[in-house]
Amino acid sequence: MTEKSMVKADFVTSVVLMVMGIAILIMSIQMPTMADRNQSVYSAPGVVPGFIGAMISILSFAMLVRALKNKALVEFRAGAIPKGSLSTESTKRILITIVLCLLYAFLLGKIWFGIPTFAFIFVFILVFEYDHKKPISAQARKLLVAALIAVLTTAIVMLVFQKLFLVNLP
Amino acid sequence: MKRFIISALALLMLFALVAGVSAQATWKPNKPINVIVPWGAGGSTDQITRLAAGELEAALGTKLVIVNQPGASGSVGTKSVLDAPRDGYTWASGAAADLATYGVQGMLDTDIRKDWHVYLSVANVMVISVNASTPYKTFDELLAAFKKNPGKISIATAGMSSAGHIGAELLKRYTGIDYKHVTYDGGNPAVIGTISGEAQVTTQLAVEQADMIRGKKLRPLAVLSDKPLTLQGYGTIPPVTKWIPEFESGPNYFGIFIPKGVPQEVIDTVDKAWAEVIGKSKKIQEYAVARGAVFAPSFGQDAQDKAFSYYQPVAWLYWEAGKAKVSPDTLGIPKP
Amino acid sequence: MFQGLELFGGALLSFLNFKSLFNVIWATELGIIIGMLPGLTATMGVALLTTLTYTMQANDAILILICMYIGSIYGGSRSAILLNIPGTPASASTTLDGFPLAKMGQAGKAIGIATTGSFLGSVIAMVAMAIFTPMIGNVALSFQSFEFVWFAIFGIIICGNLTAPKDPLKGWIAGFLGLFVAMIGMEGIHAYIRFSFGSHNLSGGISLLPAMVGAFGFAEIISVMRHTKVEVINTKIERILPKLKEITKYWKTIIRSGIIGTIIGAVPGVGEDIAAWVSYDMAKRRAKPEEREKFGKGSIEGLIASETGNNACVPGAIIPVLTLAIPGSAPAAVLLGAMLIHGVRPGPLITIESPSFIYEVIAMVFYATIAMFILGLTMVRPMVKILQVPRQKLMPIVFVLCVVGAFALQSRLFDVGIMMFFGVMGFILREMDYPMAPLVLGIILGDMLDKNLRRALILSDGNIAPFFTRPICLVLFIVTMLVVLSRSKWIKSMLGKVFKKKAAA
Repeated sequence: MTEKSMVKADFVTSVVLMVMGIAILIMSIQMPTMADRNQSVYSAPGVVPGFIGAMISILSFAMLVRALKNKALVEFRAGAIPKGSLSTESTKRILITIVLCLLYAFLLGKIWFGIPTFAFIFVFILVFEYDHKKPISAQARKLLVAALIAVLTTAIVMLVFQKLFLVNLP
Repeated sequence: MKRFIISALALLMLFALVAGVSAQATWKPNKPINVIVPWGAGGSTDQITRLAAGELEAALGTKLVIVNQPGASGSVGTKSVLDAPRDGYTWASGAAADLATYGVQGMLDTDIRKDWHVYLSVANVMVISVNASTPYKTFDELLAAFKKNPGKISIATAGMSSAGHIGAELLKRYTGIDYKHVTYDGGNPAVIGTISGEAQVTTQLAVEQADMIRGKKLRPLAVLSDKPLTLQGYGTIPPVTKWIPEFESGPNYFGIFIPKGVPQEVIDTVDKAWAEVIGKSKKIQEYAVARGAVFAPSFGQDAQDKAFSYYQPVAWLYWEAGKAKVSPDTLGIPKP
Repeated sequence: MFQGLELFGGALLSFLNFKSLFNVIWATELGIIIGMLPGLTATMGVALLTTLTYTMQANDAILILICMYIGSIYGGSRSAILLNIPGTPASASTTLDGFPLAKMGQAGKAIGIATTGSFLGSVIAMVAMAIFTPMIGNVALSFQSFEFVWFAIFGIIICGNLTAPKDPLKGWIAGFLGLFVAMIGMEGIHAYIRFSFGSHNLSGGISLLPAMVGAFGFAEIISVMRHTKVEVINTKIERILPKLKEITKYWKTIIRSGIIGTIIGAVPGVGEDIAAWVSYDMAKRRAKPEEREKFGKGSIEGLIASETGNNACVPGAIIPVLTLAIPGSAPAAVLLGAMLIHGVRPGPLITIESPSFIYEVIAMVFYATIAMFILGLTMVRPMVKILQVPRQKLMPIVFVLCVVGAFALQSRLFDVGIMMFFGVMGFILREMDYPMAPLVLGIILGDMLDKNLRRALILSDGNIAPFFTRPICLVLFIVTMLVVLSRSKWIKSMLGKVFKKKAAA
């Protein structure tokens, strides 16, 4: 991240964190004090989260002041998101990774563990290795290797963890 | 989940078949059983659970793994047992009175009679002790100090509704004293808190204090019972009835709890093991003698009845002292 | 003292059986591989193995985790030397001199030196651990509620300070966010459920391990996958075993780096990477002028300093885990979590409750160190092959392990969700320069802060004076304040003005 976009990010996060800190503080104050059960008020459940909420608000306020000093608002006039940053190769790769992993996690528990696991590994490898410019026939080897890795991993994970480590699988 | 239901059904059918032939199916666990001790290490529940687990391992043919999961007077750990799959591999432990009064305290929505199979092993008594460097030599002196400085002298306990807290509340009811309640993660941390000088008095159980009493770090003033307690390597601790003749407190039963809803053969197998192994355990008997506990194994309805005799007055003690959230009546615990 | 030796001897013997030694060997080798592969860190390795060895017996599982920890911190040097990429952040300073040595055709020698340095660092720190851990136990009873409150705050502040050198403010915020995460769920005195927003799953709290597997595993996968690929250079590897003289020549550096590593390890939340940098920096400053010239261009002394430093950090980081239940580094935080899961409760009372456990852990470190030394000097060539596996083939497998690991503990899909959430959040926060270590430390220390702060206030009837007047509290307060103030620009400029005036006058 460049220094300029960092200033903007700091500005936004400090506001978000400050709202969160204040919300935590308010919720903590609203918690019961347990005084109605003859307990010391200092044992109230809200004491420590209230302190933490206050600290988060104070620290993020300090960050907000600093971001404003560094002309965060001026930077925003040039646009919230730097041009072209969303279409770079690395952003694409990040998004593909997250989406694939989310899909996999979403399918778990709904279908028998083996199927999504195999599919996830197979698709993951291919998405990053497959070359659209070449015909499929020229990449048969890639397909085969990916399938092989996926089958082996799925089998080994299921065997080792279920039988050896006695761990439950989703 | 589907597989679980199918296998559960299959097991059930199998059980129905076998039940026709023999009376009981034996459960053969194929992985270690987790026993949650919902208190810190070294406390009364931890001690007796480790001992009982060691005895049961051979009978069940698997490891029993003890997991300490303290917090909120044992309700945190107990909740995790209730949340776990009911496959017989996650058990709870502790004092039956705690399990029975979580509902009254508003800590956890559970009912010992509806939700749990109860297996009891020993009964414990509470001892009122002070840090050895405090000036209180007898129960009388401590009582006078409490009356002189209401709300100033601190009593360390394992938390709300713990055995120690019950002891302190009983004292309060009979003498009208006011104290500063300091809570810890378990009986052992509470005892350590007392010997470190952070708190001055503790009302935890004899088994938790035994080593520190023998080590002269704690000075026992009275046992909260109508009989004196003889502790190996120390001597005899006088009963509190010497000073407060009307004082009444029954035995506080400890044991292991299995949530209802587990396969029937688990219960059959553990019932059998409890009767044959725990009921005759030399080790637990020796433990009871050495640390000032009473050997009292039971299970099933017998255990429920024994537990009830103690938690019924305790539930009402909380309610009358204004420390409970829900009236014991509404939870089916009638006034004694 | 003699009782200590006896306990240590007993502990050594107790692991002298086929099963334990077998576990030592595979866990250490697996650690070396994980450490070696860029993107798989020591923290991730220990976190994954914790969940996967969850059903084992306590001692077996902890032995495996310590081997993994020591192996992976060492393993990072391998890729640092051969690829100029630190396998774990701990080996960042190893690249400075390791890679130039490899380019000069001395890869084998560099690996041998790094292995020996790591071994000696680990040994020095292990001795320190054996001496100091029981000593802290002796004063255990003087740590009471007031002191523990300060330990929690001090840990967050110093960890945030050191892991976010550019911007400590973000380190501190991360720490308090971690403390907040620990507040979610049923609290420990009245069983009141906080911040669950009606969710049954949240009412049980957020478990540490899924959160860590997410923050250190999934987040790492995302940031590894963003880059296209790295080139693997093929270097010939000749002689690996170093000559004795090459080592003895630098004995001062070795001892100094070992001590620095141990101390930095013991500081809460500050880990191996910083230990390596500091000991590298110290070695450079203290080196003879002609040697100093070589630093960064293939200095053996620089290589030794950084590798001794990072491995000495491991036993150092375990000292506060055992004595105070405060982790010295991120992998040690997972180790602490693992001990809790297995029913071992470290802390000041462990010397009273189970004194033998400390010596068992030292014995585990001992075996892991020996295994690391032997495995490090053998099987070098086949190991290099693993470095050539492309990341898109490796990362999906790692993600499957993250998922299985998050699920293994309580068989809840909710925990997989937690892992995913912390992974994505962790990635975003790291992009904005928020360090993860204080966040995780916060999750661990939250419960301690919660119970002790309230207990302290009950004891003092709400009076906060004891937090500043008790001797240990006062020291912790002053140190914490110094850390905060030293990083504040405003204070710095004030002091600067005062000193200028004095100089002028």
